[in-house]
Amino acid sequence: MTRHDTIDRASAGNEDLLARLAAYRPLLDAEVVAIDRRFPARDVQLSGPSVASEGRPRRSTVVVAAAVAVTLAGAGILALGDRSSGPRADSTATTGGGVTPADHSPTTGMLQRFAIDDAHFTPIGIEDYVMRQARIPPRHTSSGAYTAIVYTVSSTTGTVDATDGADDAVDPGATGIARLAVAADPGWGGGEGGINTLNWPAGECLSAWSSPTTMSYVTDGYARHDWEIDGHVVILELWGPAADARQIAIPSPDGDDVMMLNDPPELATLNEADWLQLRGELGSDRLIDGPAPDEVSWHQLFSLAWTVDAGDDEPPPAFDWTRFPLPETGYRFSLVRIPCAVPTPPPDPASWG
Amino acid sequence: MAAARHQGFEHFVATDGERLRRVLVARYGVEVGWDACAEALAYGWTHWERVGAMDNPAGYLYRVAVSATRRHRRWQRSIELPHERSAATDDLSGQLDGDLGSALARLRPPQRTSVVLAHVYGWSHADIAAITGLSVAAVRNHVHRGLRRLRELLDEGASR
Repeated sequence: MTRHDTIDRASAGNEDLLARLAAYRPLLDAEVVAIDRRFPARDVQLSGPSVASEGRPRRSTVVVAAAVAVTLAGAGILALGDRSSGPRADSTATTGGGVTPADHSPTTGMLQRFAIDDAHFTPIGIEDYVMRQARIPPRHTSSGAYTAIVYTVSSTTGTVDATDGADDAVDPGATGIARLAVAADPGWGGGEGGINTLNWPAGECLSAWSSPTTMSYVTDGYARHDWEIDGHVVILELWGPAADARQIAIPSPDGDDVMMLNDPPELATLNEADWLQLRGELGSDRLIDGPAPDEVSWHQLFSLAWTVDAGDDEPPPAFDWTRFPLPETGYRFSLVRIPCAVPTPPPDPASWG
Repeated sequence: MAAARHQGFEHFVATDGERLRRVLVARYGVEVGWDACAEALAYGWTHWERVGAMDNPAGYLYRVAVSATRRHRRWQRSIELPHERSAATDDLSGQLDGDLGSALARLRPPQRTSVVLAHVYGWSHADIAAITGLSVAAVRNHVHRGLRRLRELLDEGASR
């Protein structure tokens, strides 16, 4: 049956309606493209303030809470619209206080984005947000089919609590429970196809063998929540099975070089000193619930934190996740939530420009 | 082996990915449909050796996507479709002043899917049937009833 067959049979008396439907096509297509543009990938690069050392504010630390999304690189269907601009890290300059001046937001650009689009400033909205982020970037990485996306969370301005909005930052240093919704998966002991919400106490480690699909579920669930990370670092670890030994390209702290690390249990931290300090405070045995060393051929730890000296005018380096291919299958991940030292006070809103 | 798998999947995405997205957008609206398509493609990639060997992988992945949207339904996600721009449709609206996007969103899912694919995207009933797993006769009925209901909804919109 041809299109003409279809239209001819239905057209009698419906010409006006059919004409409107035909004219509706570009609107519908444009809306799909608009999703892409509304959630540009660069906005996952956010900044946050500070982790203190020795009881006094020392520097700002960009805390990266890892919501790792797997998506299909090169899946052209996800590349609808104009992606020519790519990540726009240049527009996310941050201050030492960890707040993007252009945000005019006491929390993060994540909230800023919800503020821009009120319709998404809801619990479901943040899920939308993450799902968008999880699927937007058709990163044409050279070797990987998947890409990682990272969300940053402020450690001093409080929390990313997208359910309540930008005014709901918690007190600095307050403890909280990250309510982490994770996908049900055999490794997580959940039910069929559902999403469980976990209380995730600080210092506890969640880990599971995972497939990329599960990773995407975790990502979905990760932000399906009011997510309170106040003063914590969330670290993503990936453990690769022996059968899938391979190198993983990791952008260097300055965003230029790519480190290739594949010797377990090598620590691939972007800020090793801080990582080791935090690890020492908590106790390494609590950090990693990974497989025994002989079970894996590589271990990657993405301690996604780097520092900016207080008062620095320069923003932290952009993190180019387009150069971050993940292994395709069979890796283990751990999400570790580590309490930080005393955070610095929130930045003065008047200084945000 | 991996390269062939990758190539096969990429070919599928290039040839059928857009079709899959459109049917899901037609059924679930732009946002959920977009996500559902991504879910389905992710599944397709992970299971490509099996899915790629199927006679109708797009149809199979459509079912995968339908399953994946269960959680959206659980959260009572609404169908989001764009509003018509008045300037673009003023000369087409005639006596039907209601918003087309809103009216489409209120159709039953099979009707909306069939109407959008047939009359927004110009698919044949057979093509719609192939990917949705419906019979051609069922598609025809959905289109017919969907158009009738759509006119009613637009009339209601005009009378408000």
